Amino acid sequence: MTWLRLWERSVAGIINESEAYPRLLRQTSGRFNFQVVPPCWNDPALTPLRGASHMAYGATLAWLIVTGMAYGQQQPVPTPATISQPQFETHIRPILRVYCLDCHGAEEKLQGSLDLRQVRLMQKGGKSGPALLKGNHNASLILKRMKDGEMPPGEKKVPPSQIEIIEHWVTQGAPTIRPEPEKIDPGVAISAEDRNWWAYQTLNAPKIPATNPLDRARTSVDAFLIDAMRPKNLAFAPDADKRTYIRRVALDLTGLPPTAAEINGFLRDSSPNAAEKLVDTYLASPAYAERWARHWLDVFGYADSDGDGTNDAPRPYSYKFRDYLIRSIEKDKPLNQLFLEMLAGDEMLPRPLKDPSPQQADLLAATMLLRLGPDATAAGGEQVIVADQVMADSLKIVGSSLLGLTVGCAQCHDHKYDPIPHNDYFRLRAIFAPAWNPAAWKAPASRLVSLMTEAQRKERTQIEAKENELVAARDKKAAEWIAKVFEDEVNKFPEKERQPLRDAFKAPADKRTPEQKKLVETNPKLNISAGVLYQFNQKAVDELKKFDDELTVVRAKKPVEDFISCLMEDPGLKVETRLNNRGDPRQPKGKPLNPADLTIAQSEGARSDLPVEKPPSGTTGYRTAWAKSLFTGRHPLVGRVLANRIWLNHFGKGIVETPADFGQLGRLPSHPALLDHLAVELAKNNWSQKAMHRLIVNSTVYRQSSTANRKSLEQDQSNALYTRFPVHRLEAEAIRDRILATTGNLDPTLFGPSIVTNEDASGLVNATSNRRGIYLQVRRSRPETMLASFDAPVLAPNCDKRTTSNAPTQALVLMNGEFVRAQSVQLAKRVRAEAAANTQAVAQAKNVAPSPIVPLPVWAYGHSELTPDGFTVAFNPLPHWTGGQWQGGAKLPDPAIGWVLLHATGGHPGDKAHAAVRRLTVPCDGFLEISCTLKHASPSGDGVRARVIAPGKKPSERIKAAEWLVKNSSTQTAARLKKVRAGDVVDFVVDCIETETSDGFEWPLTATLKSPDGNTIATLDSTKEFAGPPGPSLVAQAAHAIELVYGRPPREGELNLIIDFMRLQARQLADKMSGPTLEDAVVAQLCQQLLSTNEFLYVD
Amino acid sequence: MSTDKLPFSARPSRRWLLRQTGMGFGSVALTQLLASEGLLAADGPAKPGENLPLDLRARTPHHAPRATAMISMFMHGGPSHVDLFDPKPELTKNSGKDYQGDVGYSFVNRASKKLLGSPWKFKKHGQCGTEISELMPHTARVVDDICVVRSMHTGHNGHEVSIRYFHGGIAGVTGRPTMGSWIVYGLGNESDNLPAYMVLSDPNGHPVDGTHNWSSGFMPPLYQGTVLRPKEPRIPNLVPQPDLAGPVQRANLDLLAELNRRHATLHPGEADLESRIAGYELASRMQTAAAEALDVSKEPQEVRRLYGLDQDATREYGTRCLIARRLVERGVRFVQLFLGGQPWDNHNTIKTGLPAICKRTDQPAAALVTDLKRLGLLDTTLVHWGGEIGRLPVCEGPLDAAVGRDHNGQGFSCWLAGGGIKAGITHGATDEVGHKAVEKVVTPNDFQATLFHLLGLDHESLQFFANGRAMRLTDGRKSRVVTEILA
Repeated sequence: MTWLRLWERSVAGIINESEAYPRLLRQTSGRFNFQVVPPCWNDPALTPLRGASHMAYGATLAWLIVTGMAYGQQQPVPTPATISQPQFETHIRPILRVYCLDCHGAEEKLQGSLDLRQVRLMQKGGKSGPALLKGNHNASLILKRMKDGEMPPGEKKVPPSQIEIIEHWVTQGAPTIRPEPEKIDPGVAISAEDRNWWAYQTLNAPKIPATNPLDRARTSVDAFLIDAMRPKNLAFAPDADKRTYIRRVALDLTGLPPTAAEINGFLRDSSPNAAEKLVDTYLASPAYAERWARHWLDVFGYADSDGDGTNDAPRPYSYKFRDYLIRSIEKDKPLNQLFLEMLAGDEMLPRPLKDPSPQQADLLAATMLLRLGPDATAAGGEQVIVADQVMADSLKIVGSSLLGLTVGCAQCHDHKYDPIPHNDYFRLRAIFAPAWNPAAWKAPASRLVSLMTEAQRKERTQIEAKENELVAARDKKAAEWIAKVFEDEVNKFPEKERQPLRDAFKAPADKRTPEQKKLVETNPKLNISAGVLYQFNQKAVDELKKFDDELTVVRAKKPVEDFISCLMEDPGLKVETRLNNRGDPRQPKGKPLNPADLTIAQSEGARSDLPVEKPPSGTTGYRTAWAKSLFTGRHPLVGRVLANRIWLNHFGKGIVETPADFGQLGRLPSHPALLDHLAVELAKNNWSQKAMHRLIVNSTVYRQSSTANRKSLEQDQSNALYTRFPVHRLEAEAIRDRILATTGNLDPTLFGPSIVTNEDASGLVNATSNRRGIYLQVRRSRPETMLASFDAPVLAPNCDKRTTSNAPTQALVLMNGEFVRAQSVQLAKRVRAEAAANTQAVAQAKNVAPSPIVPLPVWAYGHSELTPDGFTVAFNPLPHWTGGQWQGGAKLPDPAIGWVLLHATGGHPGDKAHAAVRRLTVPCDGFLEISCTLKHASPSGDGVRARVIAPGKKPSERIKAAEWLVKNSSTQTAARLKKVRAGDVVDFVVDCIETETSDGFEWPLTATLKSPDGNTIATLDSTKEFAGPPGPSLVAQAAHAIELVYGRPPREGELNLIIDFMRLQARQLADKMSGPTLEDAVVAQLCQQLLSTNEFLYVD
Repeated sequence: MSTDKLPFSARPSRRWLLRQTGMGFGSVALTQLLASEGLLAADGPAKPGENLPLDLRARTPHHAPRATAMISMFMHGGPSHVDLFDPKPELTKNSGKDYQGDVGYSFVNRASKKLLGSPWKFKKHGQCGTEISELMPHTARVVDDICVVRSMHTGHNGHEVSIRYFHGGIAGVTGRPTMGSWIVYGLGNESDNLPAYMVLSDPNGHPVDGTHNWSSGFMPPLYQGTVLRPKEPRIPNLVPQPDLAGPVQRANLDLLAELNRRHATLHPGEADLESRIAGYELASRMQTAAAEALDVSKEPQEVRRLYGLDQDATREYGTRCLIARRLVERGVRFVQLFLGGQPWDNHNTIKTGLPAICKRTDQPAAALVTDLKRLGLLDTTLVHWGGEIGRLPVCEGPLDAAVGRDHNGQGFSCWLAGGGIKAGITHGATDEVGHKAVEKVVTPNDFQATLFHLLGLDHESLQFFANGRAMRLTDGRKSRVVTEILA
């Protein structure tokens, strides 16, 4: 029994009296001018938004007119006594509904024959006589029983404040708003007051408020928002700058940052509709579809595992639903079509379904929507209960996605707060019941549909026949060889031993005599099998291998059977759904219920069963009919719920902040007229999601800056009125994707099986893949660690709205996590490779950086002609870097300077005019000692000569400090130089003696700078410090990194800040690394910090 | 705040002082101590319509506190009070007979009216003579230090509904800050380098209701619980690469903070951005502080034995209890331990299920009291042991070996210790079979008001303004400080 089930059942008592009752009062009180505010007036979950602004635009709505809600008035602290004129419908019935009607009205059997659903019936009374005497509260039994604490029985009593209201009402003659009908249907009916709730009001296009040019309204959306701001004299913030805007749009629509080309293109585009064109470009990209599919997957409860306890079995085919959704969104499949397919795709297909085409397979994949919730039916337990749970979860997913109501609360009894009778829940379930078919429940593995066609099946059978043939032939051949080899081996025994051996080995193991057994045991080499033939006869092995090769080829041709996991109703099935007593699936009760939508979603008196037509599948057609009824444009909930969800994903907050609960316990819409407008527009534009995006994204509310001005901060602190664009953090997957895109490592592959995530020994769960987050496997019990730390949804069963937490663990993930560190190193590489081409960055670097951050390289690589006595004539740097060595050009020998080259440990001299020279620039004063080995390996060459040319006493003077000759040999080259000063150059020259043929040499130089007293000041190592051409300056790299990470050039003072940082880090890391390695490390540190900043993690 | 000007190491740690001076700290002494640390000087109560500063600096309580920290061992699922803390001779006597009163069930399909006497024996313990079940031999030994409340009442049988009542103050409603969030909001942190509010999760997974258990609701995320993983590394990614630790990391964080500050100045009023800046600093200090605090290996052998670290059954929960003590000792304000799933939810086979979970938790829980007392920390540390509901006196299912008990939010027990709680007493009573709390009923709101009171907070005055309204933990509902259990 899962906690969820317990929750569903216990929800009856979810809120106690003091919490819920006043809300019901408040909902309708304004009409009668009562000053009623509930005692829990400060509970956010229960209290509507207040304030003058709310009234100003809310009042245009039908529901507000009907209920006369007076939001504009500041409401005083509540007392029951302030209700001057209580009415039955508005004040009394809600109390009775919570405390009394379960026994006195809800069920056909009335306790004490007393019915409290009407004043008339209260007067009539039950076994103990009339419950109510108008005007006489002392004689009214209902009051007496409540006051005595006798009723209701049990713990939960009516609070005195509410008894007081009833008493007041009785004294006033127990008035009703309208006359009561003589006859009422059984059960607690949905009252007019229930119907007055905003979310059930007929969807009418609200009038678009007038605006003036100064308001900067671009779309109808803006008009509604401006209308709400006007009373406070507020306005939109100025438009965001173009860079901010493109970043926002790209991240919002695609979940990826804009590329440099996109940014530059947009900056250059000065056409008046540049922004709109940009939006269209992004909406056309597959990345858009991935991003928005991810949003929907949250509320659909998508996962790649069953969620069946500790096992949490993977669902290998869920990904087909995800891919279906991405494809559908990419081509802007209208939402009505999308939901029709997801709710009833199988009903569009003929039965039996033969050879499903890709389109048909897609329709089946769509129905996975109804199978996405957790399903523990394969894990044991009482099937009827576990299956019931699966259906309840699925209905919750459908309810939160489409209806925006907590329909699940009506699984055990009438919903206590929203007008969803117990019956309605099961009528809704009756729509799906034939497909789920609880009486013949199928566990997840049995719901797979094979995608193999008849032709493929036939082919497979043929191939298998061929396979069997080959196996038989091979086995026969092997047996022949075994017999032959056995005979050969037996024949090596003395004649008389042969026959007993043959007999012993031929006899079945269990029928051997003791003597035979012994013979077998003592002669293991006669145990010839196919596996040991190779020890005796290569020909046998070769012959058998041919069979195996052929088998491999044949088997490779066998078609692979692919499956789809889906919900498929069987045609002609009759499944009756009854109400489950108290939600218990083993206690069905009453007559079978007809499938139907919620009563409250239909206009009063219009309750009718679904207009069902038989679909091509020959199934009930219930789901098709229901799906169609949702999208007529008249359904009060569906349009509002969908529009709100789209808005929520654009702004990080909804117009209704409880997107899956538009009922009494949810939050009221901040901009009700706008919500209605969006809902109407959605239907008007043929349920196009992209049209809705355009309407929202091209509006000023979306385009405005996120920076609050003083007025916005003072008067709209929480930004409820949208006086600035709401800054919000990216979702977990978007953070990961943005990092990968920034480092240039994002693998944009679309679709396919989910990338398996693995749990390491320490319990961290990761996937080794650079694909987008949407493709990583979602195991309900083992969420990917980084995504989970950034609030990836917990799917039990679905997630109707993500939270944004800020825990130190997130900081640790960014500071120390393997993923971010590795990506920062990658980004540093990208920065180094690209920075030189960023001319602006290079120019900036020159302006701001007076001296290098990392010490200049001490080694230079060149060639020189030599004077007759061996001095260098001129140091000519080698012009070409291959990535591993320096040389004259891309090809060797270079036409100009021949074979001369230098690499990390040595090189090759050119001809006599082109000696190879490594030049050391001494970094500080000291005595230079050289100790290393010079080696000439080839016996063919005539050897090489190595010299050290050092500074002499005078600055202009050069001296030959040492000289060695090697030919096909090696020698120690040790030398101690006189004092050298910082900036002096020492040349290590190698020439070819006479000819340069085969004169490659190894001379890894180690030079130690020592103080006069012999202490080492620095060690210079030509191998470790060997380097290619210097990269772009670190400052240029920093400027480029900023551009890559933020999509903007550095701001004022930013580079100076970073230069100081780099100097510090270079100093701190210098004793661990040097040269290019040090540079890369410093840049990687910078990159990691940039990737961790709020500017990167937030959309602004 | 004067203390901010001192380097942290130069300030006397309040915890340290308490330890040095031993037991017997009254509220007067504590107030003086607070004053000596400059903690009473600033940050008076928020003005109407204003929130306290949204940071974690230690703050002046509303009145002199008896306790400065709290450890809550939350026992998800509904521990069976009639088998553990609330002996019912009448129930035993009538076991097997039908109960005459009405019963609120959760599982109607297995509902029964047959009374189920406790299969376990109760005995008086300690000086006070409080009766405790044989399933809790270790708790029985600390009975003189604890107060058993036998009249808890939520009025709701469901788990979530009651859990949310206990954590968030309103039954069933999510989206509200938990009690830990409120405490940390009201009092700030005493530790500069550990989160103020820590949650020790269980190897068997999240408790029922998941992250709602430590959510900060409408408060900024600064006040939500930091969850420690159930096994090492308890905090993932805590340790930097060796060559990037120390000064290199410091320089990194300094740059990051400066970049974030520059960004934040472009977005005034965005509290989330500000708190994320603070998050890095905390994370950085946590690296050393948390590693040290979570390392129980250097605890003396006898302490490890006390918590049962030498036995398989108790090692895991014992380690977490010991960690909880170490955290509180280091100034963490609120620590809560959870159990994965619902080991106390004994719908069936209670005869084996209940002893098993008792075995796992009894010794560590009792050890926590003993150990805190030994260190002189019990006087200022509130310890709570309890679940969200109890269990029914009647059978769930047939009365056989697999019998269990259904939910009961009408009456159940919990215990409290330390931090100004009167020791060695019981409070309240259920009816003669243990179904309903009938004497001195304590609701979750009363419970919250009382704990707030001991922590120096007034549940009516501690407010948080969100969406234009003043929010309170007890939310204006009838709540009473249970003065009878105050020392």
